[in-house]
Amino acid sequence: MRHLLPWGIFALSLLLLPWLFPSVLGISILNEMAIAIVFALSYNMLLGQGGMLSFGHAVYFGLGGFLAAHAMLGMEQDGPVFSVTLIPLVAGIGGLLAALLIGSFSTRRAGTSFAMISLGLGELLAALSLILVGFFGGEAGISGDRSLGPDFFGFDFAQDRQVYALAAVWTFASTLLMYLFTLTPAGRMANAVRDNPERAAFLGYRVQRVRLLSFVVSGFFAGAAGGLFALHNEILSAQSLSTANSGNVLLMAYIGGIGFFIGPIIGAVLLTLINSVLSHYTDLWLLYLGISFVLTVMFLPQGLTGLLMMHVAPWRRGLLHTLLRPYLRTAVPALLCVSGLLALLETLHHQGEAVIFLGISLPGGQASNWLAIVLIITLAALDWHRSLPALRAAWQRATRGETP
Amino acid sequence: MIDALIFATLNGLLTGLLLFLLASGLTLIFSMMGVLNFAHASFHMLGAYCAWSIGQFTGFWPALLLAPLLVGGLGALVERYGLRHVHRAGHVAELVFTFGLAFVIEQAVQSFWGPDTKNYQPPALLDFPLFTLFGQDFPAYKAFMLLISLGIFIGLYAVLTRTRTGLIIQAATTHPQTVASLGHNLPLLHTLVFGAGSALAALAGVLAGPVLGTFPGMAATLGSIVFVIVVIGGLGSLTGALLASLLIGLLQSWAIAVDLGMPDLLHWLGVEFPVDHPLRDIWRLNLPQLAPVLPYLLLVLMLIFRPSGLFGRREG
Amino acid sequence: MSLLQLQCVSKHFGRTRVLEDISLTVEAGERHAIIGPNGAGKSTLFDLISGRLSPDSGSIHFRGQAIQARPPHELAQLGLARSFQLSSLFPRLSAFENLRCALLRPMGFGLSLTRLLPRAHALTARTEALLEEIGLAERRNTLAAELSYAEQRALELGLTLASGAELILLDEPVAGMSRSEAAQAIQLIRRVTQGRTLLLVEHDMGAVFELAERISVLADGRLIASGSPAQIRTNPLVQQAYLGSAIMQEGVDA
Ligand SMILES: Nc1ncnc2c1ncn2[C@@H]1O[C@H](COP(=O)(O)OP(=O)(O)O)[C@@H](O)[C@H]1O
Ligand SMILES: [Mg+2]
Repeated sequence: MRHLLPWGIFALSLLLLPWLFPSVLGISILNEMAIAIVFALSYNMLLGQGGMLSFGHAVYFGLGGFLAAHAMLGMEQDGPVFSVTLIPLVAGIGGLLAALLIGSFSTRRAGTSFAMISLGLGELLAALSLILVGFFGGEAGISGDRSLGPDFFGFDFAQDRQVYALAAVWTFASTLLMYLFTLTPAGRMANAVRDNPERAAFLGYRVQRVRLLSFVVSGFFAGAAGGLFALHNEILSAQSLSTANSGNVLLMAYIGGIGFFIGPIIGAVLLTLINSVLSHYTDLWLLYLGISFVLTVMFLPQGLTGLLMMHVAPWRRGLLHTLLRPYLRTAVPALLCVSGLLALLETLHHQGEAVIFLGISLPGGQASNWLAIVLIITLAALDWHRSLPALRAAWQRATRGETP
Repeated sequence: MIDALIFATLNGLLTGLLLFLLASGLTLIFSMMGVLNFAHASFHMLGAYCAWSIGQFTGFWPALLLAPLLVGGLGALVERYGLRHVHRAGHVAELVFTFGLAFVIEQAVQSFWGPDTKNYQPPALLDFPLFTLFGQDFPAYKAFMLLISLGIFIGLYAVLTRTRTGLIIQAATTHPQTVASLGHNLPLLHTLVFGAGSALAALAGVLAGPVLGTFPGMAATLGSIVFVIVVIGGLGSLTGALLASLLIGLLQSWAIAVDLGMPDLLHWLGVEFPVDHPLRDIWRLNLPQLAPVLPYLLLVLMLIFRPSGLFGRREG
Repeated sequence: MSLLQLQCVSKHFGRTRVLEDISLTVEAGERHAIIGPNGAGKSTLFDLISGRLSPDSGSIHFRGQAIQARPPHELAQLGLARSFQLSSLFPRLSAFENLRCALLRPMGFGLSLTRLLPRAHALTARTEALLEEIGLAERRNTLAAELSYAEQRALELGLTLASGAELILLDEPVAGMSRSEAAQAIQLIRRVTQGRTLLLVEHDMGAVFELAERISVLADGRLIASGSPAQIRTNPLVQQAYLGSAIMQEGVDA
């Protein structure tokens, strides 16, 4: 029964969060999180589990979304045809068919070639979406009204709360199904092909078919996420199938940790929060996001989940508390150094004018201020550097089980 | 018609050579390190911006030299302290790293140079029409770009085939172990090639900035096309990259110049179509509209019919 | 009809001829060893038979079908399994997962989307048993990448033997193992290939003479002799190819 616990927590969080954040903005952010979770999990089915790095995953998300928007538009014109609750399914099938078509040739290779093909196709579709105005709606996009479907047990989905209920159910079901996929022979062989396609072939598997299967399943869930997105926003523009959107989902999965099933969920939640919260505080949030991403790739290849998992061993040994002091010792200069850098970047961005950043006003302009900031950064960095050996030693003691 | 075609061909050649300036560095880096540098076009953009900024103080000509040097140095640093660190985790991680780098550079340019297009002008010395054909001017600056691009191509070819360093670089792309065991410093070579490739990209940026515009989106627009070129040419093949660059430059330029489309075709076939047909967008397609899509269409066709590219030799 | 039949097979890489005019038959149920000095072309021969490479000329028949242009996965489905001289494993999967992947197809799971592995008890039991047999039960949950060299060799052998294929090709299966490990592996090979056909490349002459009923000798890309162990030992051509070589000495002693 222990393996049911995470699912209970997941279901409970989905259920309780709207009560904790009942504002319009809160519900809207929760909707975006739910959508991002499905999208990021579908992405990691390719990258983490199948070894296929895609720069064009938004294609399936966007196509699913446009299909959903057209479904809503159709109900506006022809009256209620099917329940709105099924729109993500329609969108998912759209994503699946697109993935089947494109995957039939793009999955012949993995690695760099696959990545470049996915990028090219992403760009192709993004460019086409501006030309084929009939389907993609051009600059204005396609908008539809989600409340025009038949009533669903008293839900007409006019309010965001009701959409959240739908999104939460879809997210839970999709997450569960994608988890179960990792337990099927198809899911396991996807791992095998990721690790060593040649050996998989010598075991009697047609490598392309293994990849295609993951690709198509992933396309379904990406499409379903796009369908939820269309329901949530009631408008879809070319932005949703742009390469920027594809890049965004890569960031979510990677920062969360592509080696763990839960990684993309953490990444999706975190990035949605950053997206909607941090952007209120600074113009430079995308720059910070990018820098954090690059640092993650360099120093935390297993993402935030990997970082958390590293602490499982010391915790099992009951030695987690021994890390606290060295952590604090490192955190103080590290925070100082990072704040200094942030201050530097913010003043630079405002070209020497005074800035108010996180409630602190930074005077700009005079050389003495610049000098002070640089001095603080340097000193903090030096102290940080000095604190690292102690942390490393404490860490080794904690993982090897020796008490200090 | 014929004058439009001649100008389109000239412009296409120019675009093609500029693209090749970018693609050559990318190809060289790829065949040596096996990593397709996503940030390559970002170095191109940095080249244009640096040249614009430096040009404020020094004018165009010193900037033409200084900006590529600066960006080349930056590229070398990125290789030494970033890429080399990620190398252990494999090519996918490297690709993801360069993707992140491209993201950071774009945001940095947005933040520190601003989101608007810079007023980066060709130097006064070259700001005159070189010749006038059928009443249309051909700017001297474009001819200068053509010359420089050609010069770089010939220079690169000479360096790679005639000099000792070039031969070592070539050998290192096919037999890295042998080259290393002969006592050459392979990591240093990687840093140098990466720096040189970035400098080439920056040079292309300095040259193209005044003509194609200097704005934060310039890396993204060009980047994908350069990748397409490298894939169409066959990953790792310089000859393939040259042909693919010219092909795409010319195709796009011709497509814009030749204002033909489905309506003309349908008219010629004698077919009428209703104005509100659901597929009306397809009936109305014309070549200038399709120009930005052509490279990607070519890519898809290539992948279906000749997956290894024009001159492909290495599996991805 | 022989199970495997090579006729005048040649292969070159660039200008170097690696295999020249090889004709070889392997009867069903036979244990056949191929020996020869390093660089003789033994691994290349395996690559040709198993579909990793295709020959420049000549034909290869398996179960009466021409297979020289068929891809590896089809040959595996026809009942041919091979091991690699350099272990070819799934590095980020555990030893257990590696073996389970190899057992999926033979046990009829294919690429199913509806069956769940934790519920496939027969599959799990079979995997555990095989893990025990190759001596890796203790290392069940260790990633293949983190196994020791000898353990990786054992896993490599396990992946190949799991298939239950009709024809099993083993490329230096016991190289790098300690004496006792090798002895154990040889017992395992003997047991698992009971009633099947084995084609073996091995430098350990002890293993060769213990396992093989027939031996073919490859030198410089040519097949110079083929016969029973006794015939090979006394063949002057073979003596010449191996002149003074320690491995043959060891074989004679065995
Ligand atoms: N891919 C290849 N390209 C070029 N030469 C190769 C290749 N593979 C093997 N060879 C050469 O073929 C010869 C036979 O190699 P191999 O079949 O591995 O020998 P063995 O397994 O008998 O030791 C060797 O000389 C080797 O250098
Ligand atoms: Mg060999």
